[in-house]
Amino acid sequence: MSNKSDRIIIKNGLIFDPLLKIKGEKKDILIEKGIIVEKFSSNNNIKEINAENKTVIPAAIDIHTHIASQQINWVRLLGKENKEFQKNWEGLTLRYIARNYISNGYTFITEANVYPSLSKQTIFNFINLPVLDKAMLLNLGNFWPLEFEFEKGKIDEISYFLSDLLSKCKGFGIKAYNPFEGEIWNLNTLRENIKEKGKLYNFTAIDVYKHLIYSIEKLDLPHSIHCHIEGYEHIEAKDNLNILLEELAKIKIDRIDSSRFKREQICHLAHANSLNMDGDNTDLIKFLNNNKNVDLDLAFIGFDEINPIITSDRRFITNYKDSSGKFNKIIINSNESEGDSYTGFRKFSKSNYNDCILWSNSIDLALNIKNKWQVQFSLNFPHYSHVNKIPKIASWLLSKEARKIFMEDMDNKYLKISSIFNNDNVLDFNDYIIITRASPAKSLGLTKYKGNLDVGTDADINILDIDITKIDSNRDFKSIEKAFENIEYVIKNGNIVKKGDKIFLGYEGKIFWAEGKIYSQEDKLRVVSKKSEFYQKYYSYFYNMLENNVNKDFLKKII
Amino acid sequence: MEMILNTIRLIDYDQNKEWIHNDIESMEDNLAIGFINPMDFKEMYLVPSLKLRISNKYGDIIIKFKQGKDIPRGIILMPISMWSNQLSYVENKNIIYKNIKVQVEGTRDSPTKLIELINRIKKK
Amino acid sequence: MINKKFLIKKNTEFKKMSDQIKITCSGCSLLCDDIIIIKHEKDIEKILGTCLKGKEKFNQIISKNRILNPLIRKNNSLEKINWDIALDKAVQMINNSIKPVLYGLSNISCEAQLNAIKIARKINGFIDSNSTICQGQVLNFASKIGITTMTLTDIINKSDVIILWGVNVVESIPRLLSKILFSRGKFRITGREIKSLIIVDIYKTASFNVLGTRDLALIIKPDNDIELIRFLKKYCREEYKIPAGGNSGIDKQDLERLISILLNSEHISILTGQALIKPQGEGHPMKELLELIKILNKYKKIGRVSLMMVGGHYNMVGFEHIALAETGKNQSIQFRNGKSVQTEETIISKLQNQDFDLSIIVGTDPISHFPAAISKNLSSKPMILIDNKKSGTYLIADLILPTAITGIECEGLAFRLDHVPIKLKKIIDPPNNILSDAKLLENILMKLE
Ligand code: SF4
Repeated sequence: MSNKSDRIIIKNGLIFDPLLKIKGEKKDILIEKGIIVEKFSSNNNIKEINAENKTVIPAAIDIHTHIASQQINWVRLLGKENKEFQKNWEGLTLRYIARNYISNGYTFITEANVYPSLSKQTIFNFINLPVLDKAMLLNLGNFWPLEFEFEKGKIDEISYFLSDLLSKCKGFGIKAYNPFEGEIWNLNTLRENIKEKGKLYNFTAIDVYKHLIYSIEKLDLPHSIHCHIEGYEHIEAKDNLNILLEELAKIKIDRIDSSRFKREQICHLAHANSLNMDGDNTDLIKFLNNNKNVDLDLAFIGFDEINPIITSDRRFITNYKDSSGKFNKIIINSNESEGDSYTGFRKFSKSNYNDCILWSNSIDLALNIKNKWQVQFSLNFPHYSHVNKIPKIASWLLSKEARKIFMEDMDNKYLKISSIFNNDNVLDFNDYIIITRASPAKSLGLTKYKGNLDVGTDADINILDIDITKIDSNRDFKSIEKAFENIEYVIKNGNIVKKGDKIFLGYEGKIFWAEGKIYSQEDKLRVVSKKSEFYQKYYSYFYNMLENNVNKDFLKKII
Repeated sequence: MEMILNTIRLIDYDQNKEWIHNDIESMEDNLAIGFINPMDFKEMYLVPSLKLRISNKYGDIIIKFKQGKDIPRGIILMPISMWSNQLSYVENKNIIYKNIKVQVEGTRDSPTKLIELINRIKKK
Repeated sequence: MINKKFLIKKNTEFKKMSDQIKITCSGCSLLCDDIIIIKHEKDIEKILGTCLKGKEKFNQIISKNRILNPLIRKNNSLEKINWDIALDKAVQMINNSIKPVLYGLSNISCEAQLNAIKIARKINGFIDSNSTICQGQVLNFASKIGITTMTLTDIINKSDVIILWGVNVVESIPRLLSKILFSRGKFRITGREIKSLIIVDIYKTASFNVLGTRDLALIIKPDNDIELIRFLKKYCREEYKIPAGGNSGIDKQDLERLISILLNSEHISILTGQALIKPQGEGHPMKELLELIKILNKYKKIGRVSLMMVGGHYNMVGFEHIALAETGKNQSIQFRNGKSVQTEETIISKLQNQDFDLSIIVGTDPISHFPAAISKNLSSKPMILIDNKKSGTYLIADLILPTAITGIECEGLAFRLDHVPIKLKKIIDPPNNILSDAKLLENILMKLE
């Protein structure tokens, strides 16, 4: 291991910490027992890192990724003889994922799609995923044990059961994915929009979103609901998005309080760049500029050689054609009636109009949503981009020059309508730190631990070998790219996990989980016992089987 | 007579079960066994006291047999075991456990002993 | 000595509720989690709810063929040794080897599988599981063609048709049909009445006994599955006449019924076994079956068709998942310089070509499972066996390291046949303080480091 010191001092670095409103101030950072401290308890064994003329920022946080679920194994299986996949993703093993995330400055990731029945697999992978802290979102889109409660809008019951489910599975939050799309088993049958009433169930998808939001807020979970919008990458998603936004505007839950450290949103939209496939994001931008209670992540397209498809969206997969055109090589897996997962491969291309729209929507939204705290940077890894494309992506956001050069050989039809090409707007460095670090921490409800350098938070830090205050990022984007390509130090809980080009994987990360605030244990027990009966009646296993007994050294409970 | 051998899993003739609970003798009793159709039995002029010698180019064994009317003509079924695996083989990296061509004939010799099978395998 | 109190006594009265524990059976890949154990002090007094095969599993605790001490073979006979010597000997054998192979691994927990993979990585060995000659082959075809699969809860609640193709589940996974066929589901509320069963096999297996009048029994000519599948593929895509003589030994009337069921049912679950893995003629029936499912799902106006491979060992699927996450491959993994490298080899070709100089066999009995020619090769090189009971392989191995029975004497994670992870519990202490597979492999790994 590279670091055996008990204490670290990072001297004279230029700090960017948007949550603490520090923009390029010279300051020392003191680390003891993995935490940032004001004063050392002793002066023995202090390691000094000289950060003179270097930029010091909180480590990055991924709010939406796919790295530890059964579905990733289907990717690995499909790709095991695929030369391009092996070359560019090296089999996507857990160690490969950890190595690449660390190398790009990350210390926390959120696995965004786990079916409760398969959560044991995610936990098993989490324990074997070195260094990174992690959390998982349970996909409850088709969660049929709550059918009755969704129909009747029984918020108390839903919240009690969610809380128990989260504590059994060691989940962190809730993902809502195409609610009850799975009620129709035929793979070619698609519903018009999320307002359509169910055929087997007596409610609509929008009811499910709504009831889940109220339940999650009742529990005051660290993260809000995490919504996937049905039909993403297709024009139908726009409709569905608007239906949801309309409904959200009606929900009167006010989270906006005096502390800027607390999340304000009641709904998070996943990879929002994939929702307006006509390339027109004005309505969405307007909505966000007027409503603080919604935020979103933007999954940037990295135009990799090949990208795994990781989805549960039926419209997406029904319209998907692989390169052979004849038979789509996909793995379709139905998971204990909790929903389908679809896995395959594709390649994004700059000469494909739709791919260009997907790419430019991210940039459009990042630039034009006024409050950057409503925006989080993601890649929907590995669905839209590899993490090693981040330095490039940063340059598109920070420099119009870089963007222009990259866009030159893009699809003509797209360039004709592009609002980006002649847009001179850019993010400043502080904005970039917001969307990649501070804002994801806030949206996930983790500012007490992550996303800033306040005293008492985890010492998760990046040091960039660049003095950002002396750089014209627009023109000098190459040097920024370089600084992000080889982050000089990545520190996780006070351990140096990357120094220069050396990465140290010999540390363990923690699994963050939450069960929320419970008002009556008695009521909770009553609900859980009723639901256990549902499992006994219809499931292939008993409800208690969901219990994940994880060694408590691996766990960190947030609320 | 030429027949087709299929090796299968049977709950009552299970090698795992034999290895767990019983001794070599009961193993020989329960695993050195085959099942054939009564018509084949007649055609081969068998009597119940006879045993079957089954062979192909990979090996040969002697086993007891029982008749079962559900077994199609020309087919002999055996539980998967060290006995049946004297006749299975490998083709393009696949182990062939099913539909193996074998020669079957009646014999007065007693069934192949486990120890003999082990001795055939052992060659340090 | 083995404590005879482990014996399961008959007619024991129910003890007070607190003595009852609900546990999961690891007798086969179904991992039934509804087994009740009645404990008396530290012993198991009664087991309720298992099938015969499951009962066998629990009886292993007191089996006289249980291995309880490390053993080493000297002059053709086995000698007891202590654990320190045994582990040193294992490490010495491993260090003396340049081309070690590890094999088996489907009757141990995921934690143990992970440690075995770590050992293989450490010693630059070749590692493979029983799955290579079984379930794993379906996944290999799936990786080339794609697949539509489902899990047990889907079959229970949705399936109106269950097809057993070349698999005799009544004898291999005894309680499977009571779970999926003789059960009521949310959308199959009348249970068996509304679920049809189709069995395709070359002879009338024990599973045929559960067929009712609405069901369909299809006896197919040996090695003709591929013919039938090809016929169905063609029929589904274009107007095609059913020949008067039927196909592959199945008559016209039955074929018509089969086709109508395939096209018009709402949720068809196909369960297959070993029978379709072997190549038939020039083709692979499993590959063609996956293609048929694709075509059906493409053209079907209602419902869907999915496939599940039925493997026997309780954690065969686990190895695939652990290996994929760890190495990017599901089986037949060759390590070089600590990295997994592309290889065309499988355990079979390795043994066939004698391309190994040590075998480490974990929780399986290849000497009984493999064709004699392969077993001969296996026995010609040094062998370490890690297992809890005697077997054909036990009679050959040079060093034998006993372990506890997972799901009874130690806990662990396993994957059910439908890829759903299930936790196995510890109920009683192992005899002689023997370690779990996971712990033993971890100790070996640590000694190697
Ligand atoms: S079916 Fe399998 S898991 Fe269930 S009780 Fe029988 S042996 Fe055990």
